[in-house]
Amino acid sequence: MSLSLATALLIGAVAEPSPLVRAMQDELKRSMAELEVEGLAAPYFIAYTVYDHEQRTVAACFGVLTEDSVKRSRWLKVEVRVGSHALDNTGFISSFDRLSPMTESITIDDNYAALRHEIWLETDRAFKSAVELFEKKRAVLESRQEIDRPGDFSHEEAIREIISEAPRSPADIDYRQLVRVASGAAGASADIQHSGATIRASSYHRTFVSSEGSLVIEPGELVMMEVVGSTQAADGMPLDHLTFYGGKRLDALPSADTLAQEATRLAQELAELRGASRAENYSGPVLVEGMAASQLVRALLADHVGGSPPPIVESPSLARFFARGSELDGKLGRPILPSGFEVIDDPTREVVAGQTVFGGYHFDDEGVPARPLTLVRHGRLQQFVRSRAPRDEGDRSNGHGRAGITGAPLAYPSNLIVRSRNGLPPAALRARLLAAVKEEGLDYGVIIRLLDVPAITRAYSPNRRRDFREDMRLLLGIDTAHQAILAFKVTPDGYETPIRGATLGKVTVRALRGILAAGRDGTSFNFVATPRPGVAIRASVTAPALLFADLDIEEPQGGDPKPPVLPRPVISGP
Amino acid sequence: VVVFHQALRSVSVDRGAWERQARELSKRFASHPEILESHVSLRLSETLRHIVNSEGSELQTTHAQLSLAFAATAVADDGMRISVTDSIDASDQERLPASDTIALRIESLIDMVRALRDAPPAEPYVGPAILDGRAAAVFFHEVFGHRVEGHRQKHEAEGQTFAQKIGDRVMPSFVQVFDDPTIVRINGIDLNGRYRYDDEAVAAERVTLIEDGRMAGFLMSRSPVRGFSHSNGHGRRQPGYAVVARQGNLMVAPTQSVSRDVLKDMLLAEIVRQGKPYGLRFTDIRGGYTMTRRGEPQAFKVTPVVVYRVWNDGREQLIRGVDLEGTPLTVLSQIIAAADAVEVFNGFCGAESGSVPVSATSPALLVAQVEVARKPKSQDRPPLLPPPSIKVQP
Repeated sequence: MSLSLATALLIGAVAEPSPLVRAMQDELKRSMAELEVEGLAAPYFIAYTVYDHEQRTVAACFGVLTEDSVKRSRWLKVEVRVGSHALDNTGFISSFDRLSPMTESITIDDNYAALRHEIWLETDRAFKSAVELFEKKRAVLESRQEIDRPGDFSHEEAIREIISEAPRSPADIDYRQLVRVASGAAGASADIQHSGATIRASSYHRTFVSSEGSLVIEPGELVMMEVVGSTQAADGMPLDHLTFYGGKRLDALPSADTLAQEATRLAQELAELRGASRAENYSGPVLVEGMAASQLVRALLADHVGGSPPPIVESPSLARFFARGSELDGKLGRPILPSGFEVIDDPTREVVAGQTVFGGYHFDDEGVPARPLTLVRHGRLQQFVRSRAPRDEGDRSNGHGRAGITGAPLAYPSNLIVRSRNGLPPAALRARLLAAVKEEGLDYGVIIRLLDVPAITRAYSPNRRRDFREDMRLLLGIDTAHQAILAFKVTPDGYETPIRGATLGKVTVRALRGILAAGRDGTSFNFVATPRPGVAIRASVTAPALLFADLDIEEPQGGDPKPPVLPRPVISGP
Repeated sequence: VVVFHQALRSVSVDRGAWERQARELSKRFASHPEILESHVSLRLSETLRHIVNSEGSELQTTHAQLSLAFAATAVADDGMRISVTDSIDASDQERLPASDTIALRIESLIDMVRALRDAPPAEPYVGPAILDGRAAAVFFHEVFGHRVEGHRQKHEAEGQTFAQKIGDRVMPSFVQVFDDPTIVRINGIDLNGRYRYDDEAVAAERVTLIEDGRMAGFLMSRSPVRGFSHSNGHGRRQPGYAVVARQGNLMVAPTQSVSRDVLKDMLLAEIVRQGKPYGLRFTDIRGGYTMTRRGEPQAFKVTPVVVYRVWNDGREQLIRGVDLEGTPLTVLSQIIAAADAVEVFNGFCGAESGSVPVSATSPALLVAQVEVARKPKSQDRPPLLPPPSIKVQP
């Protein structure tokens, strides 16, 4: 835990329990004691999580406000496990409609009777569903040749921690000016077809109680901002550009002046892209730097260091979506990066390399205390991040059971930090790229500085057709194509020219071993991951620039819509 | 060409008062252990619409919609879920009924849920029935109204149920049906389907759909149909959708009517004539769906919520789990008589052009033959544990 936080917290001050906590504990006790269906499994574990949530969305385009809304809500998630720690109803998928534990919107009043009533009904549903799934899972396991399973649920100590910190209300923060200024600056050029800025800010209390005797109350704040501009090249190619910001404090956003500068640069870079040449197929050294490095590491590592075993899936058609294993399976103890690299995951950090990161927490979504982990040392994979789902190499959680507000917990990193002992300054790294280009006898090398975040740009860009398959991929969190927003050709004499429409060909975790060199300073990428439908997890990656020996760049497909017939009518300034 | 600028009004809501009212009203459910879930919501929306087109039309209109909705759910011993909903729609906060009237509506909803929970399940049945006013209104909206939307008469894929039938007798000669969005209220109830101009800037018109039992017209947007080249102001949409012809205030207005008592006597006589042990009375129907496309069975399904068996001695017995089935033309042709008091159904209707507010009005109707099936049994079981035994807090 960072010092600034520790001083702000009063841990363990237990006052009179609130009506909410009493209702959760009382109904939990009754359910554990009395819930049963004759002849079938009884619950051996029940947990309730309640998120009290106040969420504000403020959005603007071209400098004018389009939305400012505040919503208060309270969500109850009920987890009922029947069977035993060795074999229970979890980690099993029998149909699309049973993907998540029961999560219901419940009363926002602190009314004991109403809360208990709702908890009662949700527990009843969750229990009936658990019993049914448990029977199905047993039947499926009996019909299959299964290798030794490490069990379904780890034994952990009960935790009682109430963090009595009062989060501020996002309604009290002046966000309007920030979105106006940013969207205005991003749209202040004749060629921009659409500009937008959105801030999503929330404060919450997460209350967790379990039948093991745990009670964890963790308050928090969260802010995310995105600024997007979009246009088209003369040949019709849609061009989007974005910047994003995030942090665990409601005021963790840049000042209006900084936002204006960065949005102005965004507009200038978009204008440059309009005049850029189309990307061509390329195979060779690629320097991935700035935000793009962290974005690529997110896809290559963050989605794979999660140690949750893939679920058992009833039908083969569902297996396609859910039984994806990690590309790192079986690589424990083996090199996955060059030997100078170290990868840690640290949920206790709010700042990494001078930048705010929002993947952290004090207790994970299963009530297990957060702690930093070294995942890769000297380039070798040391361990996975783990939830309470045991794995062969470890049957205890290491505090990374993540679920978000809805969804079943699964192992996912928090703040992933990649470092190289041999990090080079920028000039030396570029020299290394040019040397590699010469060695290969190529006409040019490629630098990528920013990758698209389709989940963000697609919400703004008018030129992207909605595509069912892409929607599905987004929903399932499969970002297989990495489209570059900022990409450059570098000739051996050092000249840099922008290219547009470049896409990184399929990259797997294997590419990490082909890293020739790395930079020193990391750039933090805050993102919301959806490793499974219904599960939204906030996390961050901070990685230095990475020079890959051999990546493929694919040229754009074409078939783009024509640019607007008439020019933009009025150009509004910020 | 229409130029119309409606004055803007500003709407403000006393949040504290609304929250108090929602809490007070929903508290009424709390003392009934059979009611597992309940819900009260107050919703106010004010829509400001601007339309300009190259023909010179300019339109600025506002539409206020206040909805007070309540619902309660219980589970019968055999696992069947019983949900009853009720809502009060108004154009203004001042036009909501007094709070004791609302409380009465909630109390009768509670009584109905409890009675339905204990009522016997329905049996498959074919025979005569009374559709009370609100039920008849929903029935007409689903079964008839959707089929006279103009665009359905020209698309190959659609069933064109009435396309070739202008002038044909489809209902008894005393039945008149029209759609008139310009009527703002009936019996003091604001109509959801009221508007002055449709979403193509065409003034709303009263459209005669059935005249003396014969097909007389269609609901038209500006998309012409053979024989009907002009809009009659029924091009509607939810913002973000493309306009198609939709209903506004669909009104069933018979030229002959009898009193409620006479209508029931006529039902009893019909039961005897058909040699049935009992007839049915539908008092509440929740909108279902109508399949209008070619290749699908030309059938409808609406969900009756409150249905009574009417024994031939006049006794009535509530039953639950009724599914109403059949083909529209036959049911419509079998209307025998209508009562005199008109009832109003206010709701929202979803179709190709999104969700739009609509109303339907009708008196009670006696129909010679309806067909009902028993609802498929649900797999649910009632909760295993009793409700947490606690007193309701003040």
